[in-house]
Amino acid sequence: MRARPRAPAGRRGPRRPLSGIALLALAACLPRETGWQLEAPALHDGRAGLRAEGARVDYDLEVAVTAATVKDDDAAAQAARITLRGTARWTGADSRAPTVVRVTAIPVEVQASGVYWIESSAADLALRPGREVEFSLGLDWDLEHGCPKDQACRQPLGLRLEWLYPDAGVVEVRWSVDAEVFGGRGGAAPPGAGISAGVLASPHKDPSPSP
Amino acid sequence: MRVPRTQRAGRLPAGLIALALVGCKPPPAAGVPWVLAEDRLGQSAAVDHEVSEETDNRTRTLAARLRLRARLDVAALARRLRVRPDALARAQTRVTLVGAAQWIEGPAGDASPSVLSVTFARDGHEATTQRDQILYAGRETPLVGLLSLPWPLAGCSAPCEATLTLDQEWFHADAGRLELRWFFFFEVTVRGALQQLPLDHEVFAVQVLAEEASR
Repeated sequence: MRARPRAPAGRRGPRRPLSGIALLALAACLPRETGWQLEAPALHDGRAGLRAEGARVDYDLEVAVTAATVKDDDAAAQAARITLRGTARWTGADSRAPTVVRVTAIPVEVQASGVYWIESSAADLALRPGREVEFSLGLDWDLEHGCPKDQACRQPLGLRLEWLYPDAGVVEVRWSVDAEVFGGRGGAAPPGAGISAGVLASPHKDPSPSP
Repeated sequence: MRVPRTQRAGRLPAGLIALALVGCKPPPAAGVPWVLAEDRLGQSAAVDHEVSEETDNRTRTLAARLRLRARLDVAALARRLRVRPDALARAQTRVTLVGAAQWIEGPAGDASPSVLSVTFARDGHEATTQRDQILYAGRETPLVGLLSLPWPLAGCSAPCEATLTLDQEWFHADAGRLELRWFFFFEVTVRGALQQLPLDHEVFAVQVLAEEASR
């Protein structure tokens, strides 16, 4: 076998851009120290009907992040983002005027829980009879202060549906809860890491129409 | 707190709505259409404005209809865009509306939002475009997206004319007044690039005043 003669140094110029691209591609494939991310779609879904005589309903949800949430653990979960997506539809009315439904996700303060919500999130939806309107609310959950050892971080979350200007018919609201958990160093989530959500208590309705 | 309409009669006028047109420049005399000039795409439009308060509707505070006549000089536009007039006739052309709304002297806080409903239509084009926008007192709300209609120039003898109708309805407003500003754009896609040309700079501001506020 004959060795291929090496090209003179001056003729290797055109190959340099390719080498640069190869280096960039290699760098992109290298594991980075940006932490891990875990997606948890469709954790929970629900539906509710609002009427003039029951224009407000509150749900108590609970979101829990499990495993690897101990403070000072390099691989611990550091934050979570909860997303509430859904639709609202007003039926059984023939009004020419739009109405308004308010959807609010309310973090519930828990003393000494060691976890913090950034802020609540709300959306006002203008509804027309028969027309479906989508909404999406995001809540950030700071876990950097850690959770009890070998226990899940549990956090109640209020969901309030409120028909601001109740009229004839029913407003049907459907929703689902998705979540993402972001962790510390390490490319993959540690074993057992996860997030769950569910209804904590049965909904409690406000019997009087909202003012 | 919302109060029944009957109790609001003292705060909101029963009949008289004062309408003030204010803006960067006064509107021209009625009947003067937009004219496309070399250096400037539009002059103020001919504006017909109707404002009414529907006392029999317990949720609608007022309705206002704005009709504008627009005229485009296709040859001048082609020169400006450096295309042939027949290429312009084949291009995708639209008239687009953006604006801003501000609810002044309404109830403080976000507890009682109102709804501004806007329907945009062009004579000769069956489809209309409509949107409902939530408004909060004391906060300016941009009105962007969705309010756009095709305005094909094909088969149009120069100048092209169109009548645009903007129906504005304001619901669930207990008190205060509404300021609206609209900006009209003519959009054309030539050589794959979207060109957005103002049909007028700041068209006008409409101020719908409650009777008490206008005194």
